[in-house]
Amino acid sequence: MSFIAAGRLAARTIVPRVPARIVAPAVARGIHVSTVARAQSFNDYRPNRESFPEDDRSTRYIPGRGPTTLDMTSQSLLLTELVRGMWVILESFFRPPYTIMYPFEKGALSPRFRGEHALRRYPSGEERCIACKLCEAICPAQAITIEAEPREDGSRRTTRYDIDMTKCIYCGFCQEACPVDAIVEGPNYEYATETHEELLYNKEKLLANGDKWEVELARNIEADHLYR
Amino acid sequence: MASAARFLSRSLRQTAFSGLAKRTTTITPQAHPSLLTRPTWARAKLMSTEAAAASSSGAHHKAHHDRELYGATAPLGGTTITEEVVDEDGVDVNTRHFTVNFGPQHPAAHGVLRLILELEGEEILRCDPHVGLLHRGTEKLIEYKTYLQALPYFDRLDYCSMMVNEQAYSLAVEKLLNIDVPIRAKYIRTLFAEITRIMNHCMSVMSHIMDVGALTPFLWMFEEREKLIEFYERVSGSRMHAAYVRPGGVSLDLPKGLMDDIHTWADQFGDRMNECEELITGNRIWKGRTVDVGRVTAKEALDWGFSGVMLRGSGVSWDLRKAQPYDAYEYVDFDVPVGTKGDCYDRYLCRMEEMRQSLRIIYQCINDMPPGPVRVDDLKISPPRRAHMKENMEALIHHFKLYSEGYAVPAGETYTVVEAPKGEFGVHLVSDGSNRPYRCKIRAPGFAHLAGLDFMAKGHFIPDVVTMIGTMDIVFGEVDR
Amino acid sequence: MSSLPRTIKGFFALGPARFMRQLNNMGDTKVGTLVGVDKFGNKYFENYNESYGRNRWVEFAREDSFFTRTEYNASQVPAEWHGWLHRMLQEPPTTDKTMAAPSWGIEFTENLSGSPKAYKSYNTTKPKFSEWSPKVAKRA
Repeated sequence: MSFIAAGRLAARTIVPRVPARIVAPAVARGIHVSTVARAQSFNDYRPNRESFPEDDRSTRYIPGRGPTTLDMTSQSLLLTELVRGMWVILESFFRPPYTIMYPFEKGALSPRFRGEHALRRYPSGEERCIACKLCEAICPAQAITIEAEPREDGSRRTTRYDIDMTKCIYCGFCQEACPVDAIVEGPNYEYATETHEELLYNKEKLLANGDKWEVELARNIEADHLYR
Repeated sequence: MASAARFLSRSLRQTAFSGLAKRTTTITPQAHPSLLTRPTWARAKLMSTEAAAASSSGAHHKAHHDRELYGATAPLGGTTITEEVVDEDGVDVNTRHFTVNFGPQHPAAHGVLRLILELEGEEILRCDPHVGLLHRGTEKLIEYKTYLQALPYFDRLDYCSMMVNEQAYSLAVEKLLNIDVPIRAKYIRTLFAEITRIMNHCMSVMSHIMDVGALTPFLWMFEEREKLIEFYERVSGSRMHAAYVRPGGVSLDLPKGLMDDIHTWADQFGDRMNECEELITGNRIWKGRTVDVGRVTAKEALDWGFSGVMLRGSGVSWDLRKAQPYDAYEYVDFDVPVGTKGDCYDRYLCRMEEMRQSLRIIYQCINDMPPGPVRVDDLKISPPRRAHMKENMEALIHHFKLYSEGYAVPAGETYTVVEAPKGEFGVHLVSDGSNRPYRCKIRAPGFAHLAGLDFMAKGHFIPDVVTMIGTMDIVFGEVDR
Repeated sequence: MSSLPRTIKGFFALGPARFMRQLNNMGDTKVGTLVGVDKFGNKYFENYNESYGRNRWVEFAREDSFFTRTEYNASQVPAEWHGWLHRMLQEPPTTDKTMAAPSWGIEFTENLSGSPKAYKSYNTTKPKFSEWSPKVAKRA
């Protein structure tokens, strides 16, 4: 403990720091040119503190281009590096802002976007889901609950299709797993609610989502069909 | 008096005239041999008495010293100090160290870090990180998921570099499965791993700078980060938690026009970095806060299991992308920046340079992107295309098997590592031959770095801890797992 | 308000009423061509001289005006215009004839959370058990 602290004190007082001239973008490049990996072995490391005691990294010494005393003094007294930085800030002050004024302007989305879930229908109006329960099986968060029984016409349909949107992690595995493109993650992300209960979606809500968004859901699937 | 001078010199150095203030402090261990043997807490008193004795107007210095110790309310006469009582170890029994909780609500704690700092004045004697406030039991949960289902957990570990974590996991599963992914998938992974690296460094370096006091570069670079997040969204459908890199390749091919846009972005990103460096790199305030702060020798870095920039900043040129190239890293050309002194400033320079090198790799990936499939051509591992699944019975059966039962992985174990932006991110995966991992141990680089905070912070001041947390690039998703 | 010349130009192009309304809502003055109006009365504009990300925008029908305070929110953009506004689609639905809503489609609603019409979760299955209704036998 005492040794570390004393060593620190020694390092502080003995090694004088030279005020630096600024070569801003070239700085980091200077570092890697000089010390780029030569050895890839753990045994080859250099105990760096001893090797580079007087090394000032913001001004790597380049023969003939090192900072002169005048450079260092003027930099120190005239705050040149601060002035240069402030100049960059002044430049960007006059650039047009890039802030997107949500909700009037909105950020770009792609057809692959995974947002609010929806259950889709066939063009005839028949619901697509056949209760194969693949989405329930693959869901890593176990957010989907499905119950099924035969309908009056004998077709197999769900009676319960619940998604707990607060458990869902929006990984998109359900829409990947669905063999009939019934459950999809739509483009909507503006469905925040005031209560937890409103996010426990049941089948009616999901079908209603599908009916509301079908115009866009179909377009997005079509746009991405070559990749899927 | 000497401690006052020490403090004064430090605060002066932080503000303006670094060289001048440095040279005024001339007390060296050589001049005071006792400094090397006495413990720190005794030293301040020792030095003050010596300085007082040496000066001609001792009483004045004594009073000044008391005010220094006890604040303005202390009586100026300086007569209230009790006599120094020293136990057999030379420790003043009247001394009481101050303990401070740093975090978990501190904005500079980068999440839910709780540090218990033991202070002498403002000097840190001990720094005890408490972790676990974000523990979610990921490793245990993975044991109950199939190999595909376990994938989204990796996005949520280090939530600043999502796809690199997925890559580590996918490489581990692929190693157990003994498969090789198509070359295009390798290039896509490399491309997005480097995009992720820039994203992560934009976050880590700029929030580091913000912790130290400069807000502007943070906002500039977050604009760039937002563009990268949009690339994420275009390729995977999700802005952060992509679930894009899968065992056996990637989930979908790059959409048309994406590589053009990445190229357009990459053309201008170098300028944005130049602006930031113009503002920060030479700035005397920034240098005052980072130079010589948190120095780590190469020996210490190796002893404490540091990796990534924390290791390279100390001069050890160790990069897993070079040492044991995975994916397409053997086909691309890049340099590994290495620091010389191992302080926070070096690591900052290394990270900035790494971003430029990532840009190089991105260019190469875009230019050399080969055509071909993006998933292994094995229906037992990667799901069939949807068009096949709809018209081919065999493909449909495979689809059902893969999305319900998953695939079985041969028994065995592997420790697979990638060079994540924060360091060596490893996945130790043990398979018992079933369709879910028997055990999955995640080696997070941030955890090892956080363990080293104690020795790094010792002897520094409180604001330096903020600098050191920033330079370690801690993300609690991976530390607490 | 991004810059003084822009704001002054906006004042003359928009007229005082819309100028005040835009400053009140968007905090900026934006001049563009009207692309279309949806069934709720939201107006959609574009101006490709604006920077990317700001070149398409909506002026909500229920925006705050200088005299009234009404409520607008982001979820009022219907599905037909959503893709155009988010730059998923090149063509607006006024010219893109392939974007026909299905016959069984339902009326678009905004996010109704917090209002009396908010969605409430309920069970869609038949109850699997019914409560016990005790029958009291007549005393003899």
